[in-house]
Amino acid sequence: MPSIEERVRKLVDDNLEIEGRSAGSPLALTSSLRDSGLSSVEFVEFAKLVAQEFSLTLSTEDCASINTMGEFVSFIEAKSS
Amino acid sequence: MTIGRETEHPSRYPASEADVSGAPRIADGPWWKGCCTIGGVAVVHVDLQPHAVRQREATRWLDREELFRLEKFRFAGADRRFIFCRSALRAILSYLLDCPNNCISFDAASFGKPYVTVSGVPAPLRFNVAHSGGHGLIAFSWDREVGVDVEERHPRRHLEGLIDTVMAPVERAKLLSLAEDRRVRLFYRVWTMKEALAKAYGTGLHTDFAKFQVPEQMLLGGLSDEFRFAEAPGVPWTLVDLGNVDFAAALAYETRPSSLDADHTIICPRGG
Repeated sequence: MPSIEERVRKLVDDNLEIEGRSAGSPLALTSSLRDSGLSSVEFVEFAKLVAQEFSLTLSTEDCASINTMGEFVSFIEAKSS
Repeated sequence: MTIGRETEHPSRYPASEADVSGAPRIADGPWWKGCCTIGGVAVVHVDLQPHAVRQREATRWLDREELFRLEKFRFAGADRRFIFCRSALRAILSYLLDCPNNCISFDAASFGKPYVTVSGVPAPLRFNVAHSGGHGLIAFSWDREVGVDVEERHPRRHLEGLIDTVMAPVERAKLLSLAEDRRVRLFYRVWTMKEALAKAYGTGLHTDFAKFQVPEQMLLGGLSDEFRFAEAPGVPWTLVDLGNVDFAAALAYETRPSSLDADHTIICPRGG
């Protein structure tokens, strides 16, 4: 069973098009997704996708408190517990 | 890029001039030009297309902290958008506030809305920045809060999920009644309006977008209307659709008479 981090990482790899990111280049858990060049709508779309993957509800307010992959993992852990 | 050295800051942004009424004018720069002037707010378009020579020149405007932040970006697109937008912002602020670039710093209010300080003192000028793909927009006003957003229109793979997350019921029903191409177009239009309002208000994504609705006339194609947040009904905002064939965009600003218009009307050189 893949870990939460592995599942989030796969969602990043499968869904985020980041200009200048070479294929297979992993994002660090602490990398800011917003500073990677995602627009706000791309970020919210991705956050919604993560929420769907983990069967969670999510609002734009939740998105405001998340910036890195690690924060997504923490958000999922908190909502799932 | 070398970090840790003192960068040579251009001291002033050239080519400034006053218009016939004595109001300051935002002149075009190498990678920005006037987009429009509405209700005491000037909006500038920043060209974010790759251009190595311009990017080198633009990078010279950044301060040490910004150069350090750039080191963390790692991705060419994010680098370029930040450099071009921040340098244009610095150049224009330097001119409008009549101070050297190296006196300008940025701080953020409680929900992250940035504001400018000059030698550590908050300056009497509001601005807001947005960028998407090859386009940046920066709005400036002397005396009222402003918010701006821009989005290039690309089909979204998970549009229905987005609509469900960020749209109010009336907006959702309208969007879901449309064929896909029109749905995408209206989605971006409404999104940029909501984000411009939330940024003007100062809360950005801390606002639950699904809990407020843009004016119905704007949903039906209107280009401008008044909006009030339910929790602050005494503060009217003007919402303006700035979209064109290249991008969806919107501007929101406080609707109130300006005490400074006579001295500080900002007029862009060219209409958008």
